[in-house]
Amino acid sequence: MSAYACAVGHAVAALTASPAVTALVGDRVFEGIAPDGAAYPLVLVQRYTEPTDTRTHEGVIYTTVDLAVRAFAAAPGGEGGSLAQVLPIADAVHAALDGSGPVTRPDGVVHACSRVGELASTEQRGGSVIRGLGGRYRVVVGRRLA
Amino acid sequence: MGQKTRVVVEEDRFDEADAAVRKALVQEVHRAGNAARNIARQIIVRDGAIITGDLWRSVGVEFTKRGQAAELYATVPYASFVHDGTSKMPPRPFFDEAVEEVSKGLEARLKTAFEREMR
Repeated sequence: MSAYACAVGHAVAALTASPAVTALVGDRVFEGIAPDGAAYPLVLVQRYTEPTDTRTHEGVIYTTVDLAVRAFAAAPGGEGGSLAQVLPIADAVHAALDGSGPVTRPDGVVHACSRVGELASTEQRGGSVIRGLGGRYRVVVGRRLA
Repeated sequence: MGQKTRVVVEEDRFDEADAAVRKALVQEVHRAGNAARNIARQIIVRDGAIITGDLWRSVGVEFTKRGQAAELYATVPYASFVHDGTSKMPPRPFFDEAVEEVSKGLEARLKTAFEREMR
């Protein structure tokens, strides 16, 4: 069982099942990095820190996975436009993810998912300012019981 | 765009302490600051964020004049892109992980130092 895959799967499923998120970004919810040519705005689910196991001598009880989940929007030339675009998406992402769980998935159980911090970023690419806004989400993943 | 983060002893706790306790707290902050810098550098290597070595070399630590806070910094202009990630690059938060690592034992060590000096 990969706790990371389970956590990412949960986040992507929760986001794509949210009408508020899909109304703003369509099906552009990706894991890792934005694919070449992908249109903005979009949502990315990325690894934030190394997954951490909590275990006894008998095995892993649960694994904590920290994900960076951010909305990205691009605006030609100015930061203000992209921030205005990205803010409602970040709010929709937060509503879909924060406090989600417990959820039983084929690859494990997501006991909890909650935001532990805010993340913001700014980059310039191809003449556009791309703003990222979202949060660091802590996902607690356990083994699925037989 | 560089990157900075802090390891700090709460101001009021520091101000309330007598000279001997303050000295012990400053020593612990120094130890934690230097450990955090070393861990941040290890994470940069672990996460494959080392190409030229400029980021690794630019990571440092400085201490406030009174010694109650340590500030980690990375001076290369792309440090925040590596740390926070972009739409084309996942985050590699070397400072957050380093501070979390040293913070695990810091409270207990500060308490021990405080109690040792209060005896």
